[in-house]
Amino acid sequence: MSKHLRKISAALMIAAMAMGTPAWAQSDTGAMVVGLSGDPTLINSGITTEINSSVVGAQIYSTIVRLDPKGEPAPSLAKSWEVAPDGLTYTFKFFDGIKWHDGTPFTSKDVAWSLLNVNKLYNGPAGGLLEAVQAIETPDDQTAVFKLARPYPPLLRGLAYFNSSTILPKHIFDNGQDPRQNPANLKPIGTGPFMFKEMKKGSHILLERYPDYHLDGPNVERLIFQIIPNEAARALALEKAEIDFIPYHVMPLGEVERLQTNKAIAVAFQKRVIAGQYQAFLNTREGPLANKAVRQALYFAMNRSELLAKAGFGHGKVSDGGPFSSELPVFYSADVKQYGYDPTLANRMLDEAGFPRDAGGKRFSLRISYSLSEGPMNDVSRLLRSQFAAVGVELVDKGMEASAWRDTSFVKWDYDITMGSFASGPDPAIGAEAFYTCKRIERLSGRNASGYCNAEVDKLFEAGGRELDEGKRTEAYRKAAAILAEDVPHWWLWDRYYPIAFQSKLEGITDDVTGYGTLDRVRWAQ
Amino acid sequence: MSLILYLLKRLLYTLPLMAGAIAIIFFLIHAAPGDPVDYLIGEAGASQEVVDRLRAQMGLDRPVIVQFGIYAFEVLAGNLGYSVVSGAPVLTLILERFPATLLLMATQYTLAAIIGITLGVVSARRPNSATDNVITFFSLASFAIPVFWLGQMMILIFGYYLDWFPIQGMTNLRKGYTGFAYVLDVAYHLTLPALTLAIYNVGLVLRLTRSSVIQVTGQDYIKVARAKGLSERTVLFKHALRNALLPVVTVIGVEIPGLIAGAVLAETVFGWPGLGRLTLDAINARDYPLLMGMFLFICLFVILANLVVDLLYAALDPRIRYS
Repeated sequence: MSKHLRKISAALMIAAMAMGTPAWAQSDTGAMVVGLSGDPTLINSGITTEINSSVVGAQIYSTIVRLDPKGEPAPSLAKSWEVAPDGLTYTFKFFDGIKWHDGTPFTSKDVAWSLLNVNKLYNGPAGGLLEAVQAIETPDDQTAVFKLARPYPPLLRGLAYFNSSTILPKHIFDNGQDPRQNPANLKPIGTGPFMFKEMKKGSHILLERYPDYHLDGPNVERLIFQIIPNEAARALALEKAEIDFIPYHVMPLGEVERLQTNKAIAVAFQKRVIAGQYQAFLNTREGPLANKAVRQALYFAMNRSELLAKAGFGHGKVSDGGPFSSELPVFYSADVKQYGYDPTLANRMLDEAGFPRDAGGKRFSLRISYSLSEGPMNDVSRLLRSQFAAVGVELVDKGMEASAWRDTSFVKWDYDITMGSFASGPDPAIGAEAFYTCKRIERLSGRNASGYCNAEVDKLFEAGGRELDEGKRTEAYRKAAAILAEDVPHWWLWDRYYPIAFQSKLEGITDDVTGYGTLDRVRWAQ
Repeated sequence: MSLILYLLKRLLYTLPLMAGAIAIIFFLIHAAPGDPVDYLIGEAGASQEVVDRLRAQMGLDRPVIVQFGIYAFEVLAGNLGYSVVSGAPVLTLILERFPATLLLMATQYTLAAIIGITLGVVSARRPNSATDNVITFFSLASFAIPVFWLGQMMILIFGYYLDWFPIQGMTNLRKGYTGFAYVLDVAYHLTLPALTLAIYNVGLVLRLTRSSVIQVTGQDYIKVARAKGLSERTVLFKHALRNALLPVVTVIGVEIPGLIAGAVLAETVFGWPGLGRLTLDAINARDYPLLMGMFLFICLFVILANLVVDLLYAALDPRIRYS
């Protein structure tokens, strides 16, 4: 559609509004409705990592760069960039004439101020991503120069992620107030393709097309996020065309098969470069799991194909790359120790490790913790209980509510086995590193809760994190993966695929590789 | 005059009740594992420094008893505080969501009361007749079916297969109606959730009315009414029912906290943007100020509802006097 046509239709819209009839009431294709499971608590992913916040925020705000369908950095706020050969200086040139939704011109100072004064301080992943960034210089309004203390190759792609690198308006947030108290968190003003219109908690969020958006699009007049807490109802609402799109993080896995039989609905797999794996952290500090042979034996005792098929509805691939998902490009390799289903071997290893069966056939018992709101984990726990019973190990189910699970597992370390979905990417230096290195043994969510500490692994992660040569980085990470697969501080269950579903007539949904990308190019097929 | 005195006394009694409730709830929710900082940070994690700073800013690093003292003073000053998750004032958050819940509750309870009382009287007219047995079966079934299951069945049958009603939400967001069309649209969306909750609540009202009316119909004044030659309908609805209603009204009042619990389930199943889900979200996020605010609000609501029930007694039975 040409700019011309769009102007005409905009003019028609205004005319129609003046007559008192909402223009979008005329045609249904002017709107797109996205289903969510709950309200974002606020719309500002500069200060929260909540996925709902990123999914909505990505339509209102922008990042410096974005990822193209192949996962390569592409222009967003920045039209071009340059990385110095030593990897210590990144220079970004921004598009001319970008304006915030309130009309204020966007400048490089917004970038520098937002990243260093909000994102880095209040957003966990941004803190890690920007750790190496010493300063961001702004020689002119269209240029930002990042000065790094040490090379950090994941930086450029990391800046494409809304849940860490959303750029906030300095003129609204730089008022001496705590950014978490800023009213703009509930009435955001961004540079993205859609403007915030209204948010009715528990019901919906309404966005409208931003006519001055500096890139192409968007192609729908109104973008609505409807809150549908019930999983089954979300799928039914899609089939009845009450909603148009179910993003990956709220997709009811049990409904995928049924939706696939509906011709009006398209089911696809969301490419996600964060490459999540369902995995279990093992408390290596005490008890039988402190013994490597036991960890390996129980890994052999596990029928992961059955777990994936019955608990995960088959949406994934049994992990065979140790700590790296097969969805993590470049670094993944299956050239690590493999753990096929072999209960006989498991029994023998447990005997040899000094854990004989007692009169009742039992060796020992372990607690298995997980969050009840984490989809398939409840079923995994049940299946594992019978699989482990076959080798004489009793599992005690400790499924609990999400907050309690995070607290007992990651802060109190009061668990034997604790499982959930964790990201191995988008780069091992951002994802996997947090789980396996000694310095990450911290009483914090998403850190090394297993207490595993191996100087050699640390050295390899350290090297991989600062090496500029991709070949050498890959080698370091593959070595680390091999050691981890041998030591099994975690059981990697399966690499996640992320099903999404949308009206077949919607085009452009699958171009996004982050899972919370901008929907500016999505359109209704004519 | 005595009525006003009575009201004042009743309201005064509620003060220690509220204070006790606040204290107990405060310590209970702080004793539960996890805190809002965990929720805010989420799975991605953050450094110890960030966590400590956030905790300090929320005052969570102080002893619980001190936190309680601060909270109590704020409440006495009429300030319910701010949600630690969204930063919005607690009172605004609650009042924003209250109308949706009130609409759903009022509609379904009116429906349940009308259907329940009518069927109850019909049932009591000839106990153990075929009609009575059918109604009894229906009422027991409706009482035994879990709300969330019933709700999903209603969606499946009337929303999905028959396509008579919308599946989710309170309005058609794609169309975005305004004015009278909006009112109709809300009523259209209200039908299934209100019916679901009404079916669930009919059972109790019906059973109570039935047994209460049966008891009353043995009384002398009913015989007198019949002897006067009044029609059976007048006897049942004018004379018997009015006296039989007292226990029913009591139970309806007592059931109001249960109604809110039922609303949580129905609101979740139907995507109804009410208070029930606000509470659930607050629990998941360990949003202490919001949770406390919600409990306070529910307490107050229940106390007021019971007061209204007390006043209804007098209307139903002129012999009751307040002193």
